[in-house]
Amino acid sequence: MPDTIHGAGIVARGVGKRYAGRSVDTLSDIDLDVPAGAFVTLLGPSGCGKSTLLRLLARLNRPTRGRIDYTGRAEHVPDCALVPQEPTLLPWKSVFDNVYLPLKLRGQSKGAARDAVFESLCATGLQDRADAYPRELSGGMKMRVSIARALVTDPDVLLMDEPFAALDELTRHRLNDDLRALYERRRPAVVFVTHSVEEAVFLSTTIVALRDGRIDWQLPVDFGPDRTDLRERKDYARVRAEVSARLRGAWTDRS
Amino acid sequence: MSDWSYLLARPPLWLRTALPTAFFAILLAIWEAVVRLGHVSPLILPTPSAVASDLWLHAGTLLWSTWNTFVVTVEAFAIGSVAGIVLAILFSRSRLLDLSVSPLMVLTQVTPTVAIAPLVLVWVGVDNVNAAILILAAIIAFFPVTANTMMGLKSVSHDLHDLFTVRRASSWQRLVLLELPAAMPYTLSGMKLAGGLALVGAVVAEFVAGSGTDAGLAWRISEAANRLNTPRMFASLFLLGLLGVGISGLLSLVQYLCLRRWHEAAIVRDR
Ligand SMILES: Nc1ncnc2c1ncn2[C@@H]1O[C@H](COP(=O)(O)OP(=O)(O)O)[C@@H](O)[C@H]1O
Ligand SMILES: [Mg+2]
Repeated sequence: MPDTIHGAGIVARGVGKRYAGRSVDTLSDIDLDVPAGAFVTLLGPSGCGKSTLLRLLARLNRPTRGRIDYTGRAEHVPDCALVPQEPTLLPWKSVFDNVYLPLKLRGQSKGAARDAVFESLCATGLQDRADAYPRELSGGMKMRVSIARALVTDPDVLLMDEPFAALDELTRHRLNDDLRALYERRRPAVVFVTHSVEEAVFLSTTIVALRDGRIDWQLPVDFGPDRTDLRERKDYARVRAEVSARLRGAWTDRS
Repeated sequence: MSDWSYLLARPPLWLRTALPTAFFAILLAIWEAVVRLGHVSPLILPTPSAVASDLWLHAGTLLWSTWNTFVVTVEAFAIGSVAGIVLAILFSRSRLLDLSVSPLMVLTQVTPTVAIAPLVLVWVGVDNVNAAILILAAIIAFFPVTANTMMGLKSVSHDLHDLFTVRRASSWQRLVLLELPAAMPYTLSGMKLAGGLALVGAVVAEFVAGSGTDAGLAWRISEAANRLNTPRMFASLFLLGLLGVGISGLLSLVQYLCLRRWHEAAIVRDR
């Protein structure tokens, strides 16, 4: 399983979205490619339509215009997993059972799912908390459970909506490191919503900036797969500065 | 002194038991004294000791009646709870059904049970009084279960619904794995109310029905009233009170056991 790139990506063409009862489009003219194995970050201020786009990609809502297609692996429907901003766990289920849920929904017995669940728990550092209940966990731990639950089916596409926004900075750094490692191990296509420049630069292979419901610009980030000491590197600081400048609209192609 | 006020602010279990027990004992002592000193006729107000001796002498009959009332209450509670949950599920599935039927359901609740009782008795048949009592008690009991469960089914967060949608859960899976468990704190709180109401329903219905029953506590009370046997009335009332406390305590225990793994806030406060 490691080092294989999953077969599915997403292609959006001419996508627009207007919510019922609203007089303006929340999204317009979105052309977006999420190739298999890419880590795409949607970056932009609150209210620019990031969550709306993510929900369209997850097929939770329908676009008003345009179309969204899942590509690759034509023989089966691509498996899609969602990590919402709040770690919405079932409070009446243990950590193990929460992570087991997606497999249960597919009709897998607990015994048959055991290995997959434990692999997912280990990958997110939760192997010792399998029997805990959500109320006993910190915010960071709950988010780990939410991620473990998303990963348990080894999804083709992983959609994350500001998963770490509510966490303190240290926890967020740690989870960013771990998410990077998980992504490199399994290589799903990831669409990650954030309003943090730092997070976007650290994680992505492509940054997509949204403004007022449109794609403002896109930037490939080529730091390669190993990003363990990236935060201390000079080129990281340089790209961060570039992204910040672009977001302010102050970027000119001089450097 | 400050130790004492600290104890009162956070009363431990022994204190919460000891205080009402002591108060009750003092009350009984004053009561006994007042009647014995001849301030009140024992025919109107029997002494606690007279009540206790009646309870002791007729323990067999009285406990049998308590058992009968208990059985009807439990049956009504069970029927009401199951019907309440099923109705809530149906209403939550079909808006049309909800809009059409709920107002009628509310009508059965705002009409006093005592007033419906004779009608139900006529319908079910006078030779079928126990069934009539059961139906009446269940009619009172189901409503809080339905209302609370419906609220609980609607309480599920959008994020969790989204999760089930993305994972392509069937609507059966959504109901069984998400909505019903999420509604459980609400349902349990409704069932606690239903337990008390089932007892009220059983007693009221038995009063209206009069004779022809297995003779529950209500029958003992009206029989004793006809004979001006006040000690018997008090003895029956005492057992009825115990029954109510027992049922409520049992349901609180069930509620606690079911929800202790959840957050404390999951226990919906009774209104
Ligand atoms: N369900 C909805 N109905 C109507 N308007 C919505 C809905 N969801 C979001 N919006 C509006 O769409 C805009 C973009 O919202 P959103 O996609 O949540 O932005 P972001 O995630 O970037 O903060 C906002 O103006 C918001 O008010
Ligand atoms: Mg958002």
